[in-house]
Amino acid sequence: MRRKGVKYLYLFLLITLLMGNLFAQDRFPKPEFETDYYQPQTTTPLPDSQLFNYLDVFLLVIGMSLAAYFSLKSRSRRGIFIISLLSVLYFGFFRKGCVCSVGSLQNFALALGNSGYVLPVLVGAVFILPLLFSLFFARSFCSSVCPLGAIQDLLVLKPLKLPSALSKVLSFLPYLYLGFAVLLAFTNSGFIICRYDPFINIFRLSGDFNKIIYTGAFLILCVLIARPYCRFLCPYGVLLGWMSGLSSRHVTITPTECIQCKLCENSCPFDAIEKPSPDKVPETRTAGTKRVGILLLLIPLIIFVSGFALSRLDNILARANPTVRLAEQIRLEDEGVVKETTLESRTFRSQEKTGEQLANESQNIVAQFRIGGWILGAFLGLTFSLKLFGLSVRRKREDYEPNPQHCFSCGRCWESCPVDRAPSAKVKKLGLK
Amino acid sequence: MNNLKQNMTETIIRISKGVAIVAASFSLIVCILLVANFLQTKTIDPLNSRALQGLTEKLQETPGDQALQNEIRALDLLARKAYFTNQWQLKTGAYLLIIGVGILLISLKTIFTLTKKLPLPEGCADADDSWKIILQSRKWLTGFGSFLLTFSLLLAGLSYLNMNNFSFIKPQKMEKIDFKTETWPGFRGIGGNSISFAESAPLSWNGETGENILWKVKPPLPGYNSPVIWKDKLFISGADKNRQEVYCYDVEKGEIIWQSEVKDVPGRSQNKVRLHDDTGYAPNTLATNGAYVAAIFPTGDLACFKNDGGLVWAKNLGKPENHYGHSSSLIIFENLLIVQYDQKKKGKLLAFDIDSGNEVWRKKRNAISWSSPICVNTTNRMELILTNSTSITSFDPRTGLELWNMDVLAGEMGPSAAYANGMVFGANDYASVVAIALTSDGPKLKWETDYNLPDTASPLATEKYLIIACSYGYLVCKDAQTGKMLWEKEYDRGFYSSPILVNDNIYATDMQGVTHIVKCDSVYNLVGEASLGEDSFCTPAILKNRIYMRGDEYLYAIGN
Repeated sequence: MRRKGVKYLYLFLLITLLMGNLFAQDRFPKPEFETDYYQPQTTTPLPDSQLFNYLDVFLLVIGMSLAAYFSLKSRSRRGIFIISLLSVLYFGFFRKGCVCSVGSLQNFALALGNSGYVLPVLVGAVFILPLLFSLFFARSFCSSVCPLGAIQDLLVLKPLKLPSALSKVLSFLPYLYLGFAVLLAFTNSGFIICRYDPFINIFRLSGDFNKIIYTGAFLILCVLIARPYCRFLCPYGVLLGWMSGLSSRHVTITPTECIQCKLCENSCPFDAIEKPSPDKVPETRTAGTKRVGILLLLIPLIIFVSGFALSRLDNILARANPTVRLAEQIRLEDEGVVKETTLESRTFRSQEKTGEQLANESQNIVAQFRIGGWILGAFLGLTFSLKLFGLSVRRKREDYEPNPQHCFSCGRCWESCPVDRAPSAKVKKLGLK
Repeated sequence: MNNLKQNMTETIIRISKGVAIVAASFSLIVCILLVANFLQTKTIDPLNSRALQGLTEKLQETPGDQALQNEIRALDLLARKAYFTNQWQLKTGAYLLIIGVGILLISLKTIFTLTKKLPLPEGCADADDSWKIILQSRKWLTGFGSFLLTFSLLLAGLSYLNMNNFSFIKPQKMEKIDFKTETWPGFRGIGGNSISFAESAPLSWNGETGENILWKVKPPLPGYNSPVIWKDKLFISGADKNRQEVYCYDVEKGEIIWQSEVKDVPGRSQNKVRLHDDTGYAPNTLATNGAYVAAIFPTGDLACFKNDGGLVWAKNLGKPENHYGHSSSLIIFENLLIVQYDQKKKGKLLAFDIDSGNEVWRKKRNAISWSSPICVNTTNRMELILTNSTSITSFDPRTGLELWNMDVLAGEMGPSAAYANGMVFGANDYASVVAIALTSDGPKLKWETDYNLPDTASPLATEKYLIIACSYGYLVCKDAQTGKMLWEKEYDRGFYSSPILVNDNIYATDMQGVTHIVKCDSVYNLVGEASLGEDSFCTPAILKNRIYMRGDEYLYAIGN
């Protein structure tokens, strides 16, 4: 009963939070001055001072260093919580959630695919630094510095636990999202990570009705499921996971030796604790080996078929590109299939570029999507195969351990460990324990 | 010590609960207020209130009523205050809500942290469960992967089977159109600025002997409007006192592809419109954007056709108060059909969405004219420039916003404006020729002269020269920067047709149908002369090295 009441409380909390945004829209049209008032010419505001960009990078490094210290050295959950709060306030509300490391991977892909686009150094730093930190200090960035992760973390009160099998399936989605985001950015077709960022409307206190509904739905999801974006969508999390997997330092549940008390087993709301492997399994070694062998033989086929399937979607995927959409619109208008022209088509027709040039440009873009489809399909096929392979081979694990790739280094599991921990004098002095 | 700590904890939990309740109540109240604000603002539209509109209409009837003007200003100010107060309320409400919800979150977090109990190892999975989870995960993952793969293959297959719906482009079917060289979309060509982008045009022809005449046809009904062209289609209109028609000709063969009558237009006055013989029943040149062609007549009937002749929409703009007859031509900018409807009273400038005929914006006009709008790129923006009996005015073609106005003209204004190299030119008989420089500080009158003035033909402007064709037979070239006359040439007949620039040659057709081809230079240099063999008052369309001219009776295509 009490639990039900708590859920309703969460729901109210989120709805009220959403209302703020919903009504923060302009409901009135811009005033019209029809008499003596001379409407000033629209001017382009000056770009932000570079100072803030340098400050962003500086605070990013400081934040990640502190997060790494709190998660790996001092094991201070409170310290991580404080950084989360500060990150939401600074990177989220003050800096309006941009540039963020998650979105910056698109800039990186765009720079790779377009010689005309030069990756700004600071954007490059925002992209690279968390990866480097993850390589040495696991996912300390995700623990509290990323504003997207931090705001979700603050909403983790009493989330539901998803079935493990479902978590495994859903954990494939970030690879899909990563692949498509890179493909679209590479072909200069758009930044879908930014476009579908569920938290940007909160940070900017703005957004149209559909986006606010989308954000609201996501926030409700964040209360029901812990960090759904980080676990089942974040494309940057895939890269961080790879780096973290290579890292030699990770959060440990127990500071000394695991006593197999099982108290931490359900302490992770993100389902990132790996259990000790069972001594016996109801499958013979021969059957297991055979299954793994078949899978290994199938991997090249899976990669090829996935690549083929996605390369054949070139016409459909290429529609994400504005040039291709314009070419299609022009064709449909010329063939009389559509009657209404668009602003883009009218603008195109008033310019000097010919339809043939536009068609050629579109053809080149579609060709890029065809090749990109092969690469994306192969990548997804390989990822799928490796995930299946990971579920097919037995690994010897004796203790309860955080998954090196999926653990967000949030430190929630520490409280469950009964092994005595002696906080350092410095941490005690700072009151962070 | 432990008891003290426990008491402290319980106190903090109690306080947190209290704070949570207060924060929740506060957030709820703010939320309700925001909803109320939302509902209120949704139903009330102070900027378009009936009271304000009523007063504005009343002011139109009594324009000098100072008290009424003050009342409107007060009401308008109130509406604006309401708007900005509303903005402030929304912003403040949003911040208050965030603060409230933030405090609520912190309180809840505190409560949950302090009441958290350590988990018990009961119910943890054993080895069998772990194996079952692995098995289930494998199955689900395989199923999900198979689904994605099947879906992708299915979609890919469909995309290749149904090319019309899924294929994005067929380059061989793309219309290749060079806007500058393949279209003459309105009166005086692109933007209405008298510049042809043809590389050259014939230097001699004879309408009577057929020399260089590709075809010559007689339109079913007469009209003084000039031909407009989009690729292979030429459009003109014709009318008499009983019928108004629009004709589409094949530019290659001169055959009528379609003709449509404009009749039974809703809102048309039953009273006959008074027209001068020099105006006729179809003086207004049409406008086309390839997809549509629009026509207007002195009766106030405005009609829009698809390029295959199907009527899209038609409306009457009201009986014109015009003693010679309404003769302004149409112009299309992007998706807007722009109508200069200058009248003795209640003149207006209108923009219609060409797809639907819906009015997009309108502006009041304070004086009559018979000129037509031009739409030009003045380096940093597009400007719609109009002349009337008092002024030259520039508007933003997208919004109708007045950009600038200069009261520099007078008389019964027939000629339209011309633009070149940052300068706008206006001219009228019995008044003056003016040159306005568009500077960063706004428009400045650069020079003015009252010698050699046009009555009907619009001026032609280039970077260096201003060409004026007068109704009393003079063709004049002035220095565009200073207004100094460089040369003048008198011909037997005067000009109603506006001169057109083709490469370096000026094509000026007099009322006798003789076109004088003169080098556009600081000295007079006649390149050639050619005759239609009949009178002509229309402005030629010159593109793709051909000339399309309308004589008093016939329509001609001229080419080598």
